[in-house]
Amino acid sequence: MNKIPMTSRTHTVALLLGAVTLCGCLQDFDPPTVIACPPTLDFAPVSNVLEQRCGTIDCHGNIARPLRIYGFRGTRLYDDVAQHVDDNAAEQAFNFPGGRATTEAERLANHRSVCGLEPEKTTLVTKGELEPEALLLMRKPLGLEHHKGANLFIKGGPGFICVESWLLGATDPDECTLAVKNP
Amino acid sequence: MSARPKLLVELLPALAFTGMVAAVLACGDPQRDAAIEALGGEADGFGPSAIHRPGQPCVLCHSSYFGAEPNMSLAGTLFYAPGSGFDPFLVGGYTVRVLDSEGESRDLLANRCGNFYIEKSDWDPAFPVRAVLYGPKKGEPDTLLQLRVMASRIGREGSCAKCHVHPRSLYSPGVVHVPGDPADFLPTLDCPPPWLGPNPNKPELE
Repeated sequence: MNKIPMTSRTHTVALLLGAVTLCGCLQDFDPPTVIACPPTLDFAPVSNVLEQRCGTIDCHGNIARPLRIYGFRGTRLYDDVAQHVDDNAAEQAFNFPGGRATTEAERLANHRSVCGLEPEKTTLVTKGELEPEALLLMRKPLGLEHHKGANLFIKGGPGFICVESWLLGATDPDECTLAVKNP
Repeated sequence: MSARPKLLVELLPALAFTGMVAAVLACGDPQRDAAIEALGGEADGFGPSAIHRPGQPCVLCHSSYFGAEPNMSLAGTLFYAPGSGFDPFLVGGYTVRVLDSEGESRDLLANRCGNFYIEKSDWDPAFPVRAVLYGPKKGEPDTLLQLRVMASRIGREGSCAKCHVHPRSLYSPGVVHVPGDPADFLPTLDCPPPWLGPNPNKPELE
């Protein structure tokens, strides 16, 4: 096979390309987008409602779902990766569905899941620039959008008021408790 | 142009349409197909019947998708779970009472190999549903006692075994089981071996 001779022009082009590539790496990437979401402080009663109504293993209590809800009634979050690898480790930690009560770490994971579902829209809702009902979090359980799990909230009902009040910045814990008691 | 190529050109739209229809009809659900395939064949000596394939997710096949008869709306298998380190075994004679979102309820009696089900033509419950386990009182078989209430509701899954998989783990509460003293239970005879397969909800770690 004949080798293609490398001329000085080819060398120059190669050098230029290399220089351009290196220069392309000099600039930093854009800083991460900061999203606004109602605080975790008032989220516990809301998490209870979401765990009960949405978080069963056949629905959002399953890691295959984009909106993932952990807790007592669904998939558990592991404290240690050993609990994922070895089922006995999970058993010993009482960390299985129906085992120990929902942990703070699981509530925090649920908060992140809810806030991260539609971060831009959630930011607008948090700033008061968009109605809570614009979010999938509300539209799906209200039946305003196709939902395999059907209608789980009634507009004006305790479950609806619980989640809406949290999105508007003033969680109504009584309505949340009522929603859990009367699913 | 000769007659044969001309005929082909005229038939081309019809052929294309037939091909598209065939392609659409051939489209299944690969995930469900794989799950059915993973269940394997019948146990030796046991054909399709009310006691076959205990522990498997029944509605996977007994559905309009796969077409196994009867079409079931809810189905599962009842076990006694001796505890960690031991495999659960099948038990029958207990009742699973299911209450749906419209207030309707049905009792599903576990047969001698632990299988219980209700046909869709008999009842198509409004999800979510609740499940409560009842058993006969000792010495009074006609009196049912409430033994266990399911902690969560069933959102939409008809197969208990879709979520209730042995062993208990982060991703499953374990098989549907009867609480009680081990002395009260004897392994059921003449039943297919229960399926205690891998948990489909357990993810691979990256």
